[in-house]
Amino acid sequence: MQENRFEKKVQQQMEELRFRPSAAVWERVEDELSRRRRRRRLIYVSIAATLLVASLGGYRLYTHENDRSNRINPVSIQKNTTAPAEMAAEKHRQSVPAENTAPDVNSNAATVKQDAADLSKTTSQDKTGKHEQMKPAPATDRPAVMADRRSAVKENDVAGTGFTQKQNKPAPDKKNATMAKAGNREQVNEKAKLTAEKINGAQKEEKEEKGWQASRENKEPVAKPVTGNELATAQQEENRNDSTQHIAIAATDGQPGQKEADLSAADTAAVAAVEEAPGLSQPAAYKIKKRIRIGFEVSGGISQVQNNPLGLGGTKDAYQDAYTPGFSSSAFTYPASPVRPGVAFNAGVTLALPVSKRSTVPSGLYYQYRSTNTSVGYFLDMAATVNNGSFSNNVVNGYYRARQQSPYTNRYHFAEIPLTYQWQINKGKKWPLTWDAGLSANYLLATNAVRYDTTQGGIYYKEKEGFNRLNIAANTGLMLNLKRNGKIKWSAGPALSFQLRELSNDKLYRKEYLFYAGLRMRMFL
Amino acid sequence: MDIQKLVRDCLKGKRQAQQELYATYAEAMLGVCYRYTRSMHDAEDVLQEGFVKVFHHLDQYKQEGELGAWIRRIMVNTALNFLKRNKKYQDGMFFTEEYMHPVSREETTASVEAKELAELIRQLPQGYQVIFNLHAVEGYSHVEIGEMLGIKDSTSRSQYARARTLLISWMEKLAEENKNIRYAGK
Repeated sequence: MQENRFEKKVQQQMEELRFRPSAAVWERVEDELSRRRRRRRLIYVSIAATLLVASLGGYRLYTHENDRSNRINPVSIQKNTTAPAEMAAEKHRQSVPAENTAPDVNSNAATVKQDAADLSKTTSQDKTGKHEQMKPAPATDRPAVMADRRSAVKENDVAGTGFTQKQNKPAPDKKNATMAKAGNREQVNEKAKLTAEKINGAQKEEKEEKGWQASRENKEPVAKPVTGNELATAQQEENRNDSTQHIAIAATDGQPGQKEADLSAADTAAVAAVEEAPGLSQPAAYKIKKRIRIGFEVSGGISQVQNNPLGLGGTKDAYQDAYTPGFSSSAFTYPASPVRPGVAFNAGVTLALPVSKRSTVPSGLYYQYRSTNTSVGYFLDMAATVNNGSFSNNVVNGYYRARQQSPYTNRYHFAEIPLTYQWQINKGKKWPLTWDAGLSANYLLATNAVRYDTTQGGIYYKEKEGFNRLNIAANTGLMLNLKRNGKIKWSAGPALSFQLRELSNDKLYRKEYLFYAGLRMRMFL
Repeated sequence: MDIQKLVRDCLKGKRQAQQELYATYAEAMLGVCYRYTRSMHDAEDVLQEGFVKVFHHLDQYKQEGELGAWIRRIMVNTALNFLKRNKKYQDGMFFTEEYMHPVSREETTASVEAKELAELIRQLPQGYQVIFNLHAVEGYSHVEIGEMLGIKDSTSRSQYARARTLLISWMEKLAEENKNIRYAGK
C-alpha cells in the first residue's frame, strides 16, 4: 500500500499539469482536417466524374446512332398507299373548286415534281438497271393520274409556276438522272424528308379521291410509278440490311410520252430513298462494322487468395508454412486464421474493336472489388513493431490480436484496364458463343486488408504499403450473345481472373495471388 | 458545456465545435504529451497528431466513459508511436529483459511542485520514463504495458522499480535544495 500512496500522489500532481499550446498547433490541426476533407471530397468527385463521363459518352454514342438511323429512313411507310403523285394531287384538289381540279392537280404535282427534279440532279442513278420498277410500265388497270396532266397543262397553265414548261421539256440527259455526289447526300435526305411529308399528308385524303380517279381511268395510260407497297418492301429491305444512307434515285428513260411519268417516278424514288446502290453502299457498311462499339459490363462472383497464381488450391497452408513461432517474446503465438472466399464484383465501360468477322478486341476501364474473409481478435489502438517476415522492423499504429474472435473482411479496390481477344466459337448468328482471353493491368486504389505477424503473440495489422499497387491478371471466359433488344446487344457468361503478381510485396515468405470466378453481363449500345 | 452536443457537432464537421473541443482539452493533453517527450516542440507535435486522430475517430467514441479519458488514451498511444517512430527516441525504447526485479518499497515525504516533478520524470532514462508514466500516472498494469510495448511484464516491473527508486532520490534531493533556498532567502 506504501507504493500506492506514492503513485497516488504522483498521479494527482500530474493531473494538474497543464501547458498552454502555441496557436500554431490548432492551425496545423485545422489544416490537416481540411486536407483530409478535401482528399475525401476529391475521391467522391473523381468517382462521380468518371461515372458521368462514361454515361455521357454512352448517351452521346447512342443518340448519334439514332440520328444516323433517322437520316437513313426518313419516310414512315404506311401499309396501304397509293402513288405519291396522286396523293399530292388529291391534297391540292381539296383547296380548289371541282371544275378546276385537273389543272390544280397538275400544279401541285408540278411542285412535288420540282422537288424530285432537284433531287434527280443531286442523286445518283443506278446504272445497273436495278430499279426496273421505275421504268414506264405497260397500261395498267388503274392508270396514273399523270396521264391526264399533259393535256391539262397544254390547255391552261393554271399553276403558273413555270414548272409546267420545265416538265414538258425533254430531259436534258437521255437517262434523265445524274450521279449523286457524296457531298450532296445530306441535301438529298432533307429533300426526301420534305417530299415525304407532302405525300403523307396527301395519303390521308386518298379515299375521298377514289371517284375522281375513277373518272380518269380511260385516259392515256402512262408509266406506273412505284407503289406504296413497293416502297414498303424496299424500306423493309433497307432496315434489314441495317445499311447506310445511299439514296439511289431511279430515273426513267425519258422516252416521248413518258415525261410526266418519268417525273412522277422520280418523285416516288426521291420519297422512297431506300434503294441501295450496290457499288456505293458496300464500303459504307464495311466501315460501320469496323467502328469501335461502346458498352457496359457488370460481373459478380467470389474471390479468394491462393498460393499459386494459376492454381485453385486456396491458402490453406500459406500462413502455417510461412510463419513459425520464434522471435516473439511472448510465450505463445496465435496462428493466423484461415482465409475464406469473399464477395467480388466488377463494373465498367467496355470498348470493343472488331478485327474480323468473328473476332473482336475488347478493352475498357473497370472498377474491381475483391474481398476475402478471415477472423481476428480485439483491436488495440497502440503501436507495435512488426518484422513483415523480413529483417527490417516497421512500426504500425493499432492492430488486432490474432485470435479468431470476430469475422473480418479484407477488401481490395482496383482499377482495371483489360486487353482481351474475343473469338466466336460457333458460326451461328442466332446464339453466337464467344471465348475470350487476355491480360489486364490492375491498380490497387485502396484496401483495408490486414496482414499477419508473429510479434506480440500474433497480431493482424493494416499496412497498405505492404501490397503491390500494380498487378497483372490473366482473364478468360465465355460469352453467349443473348437476344438483341432493339439496338442494345446483351451477352452473358462465366469469367475467371487470376492475378499473376503477388498480392503482398513481402517477398520472403508470403505467396498470395488473388483469384476471381463469377458471372458477367455485357451490354453494347 | 454539453459534451455530447459538442461531439455531435464535431461529427458533423463544424469547425467551431472542433475548436471548442480542442480548447477544452488541449492544455491538459499537452501536459500528458510533455511527460513522454524531451522538448515542448515534440510535445506539440504529438498533441497535433493526437487531436487529428481524435477528430478522425470521434465516431468511435461511445459516449459511455469520460471524453477526457478517451482523448487521453489516444494521446498516450500517439506519444508511444511518436517515440518509436522518431530516431531521437528509438534507442531509448530498447528494453533489456530482466528476470530478477527488485520491488521498490521506498517511500518519501519529499514534496515538489507538479512542474518540478514532471521535469524529474522527463530526466529519467527513456525506457524508465515511459514505463513510469504508463504505470504510475496512467494506471496501466505491467501486463498491459508488456502488451503495449511488446515486452514481458517482468521487464516492465523491473524497469518501473528502478525508475521509482531513482525518482524518489531525485525528489528528495530537489526538496532539500528547495528547502535550502528558502532558508537562504529568509
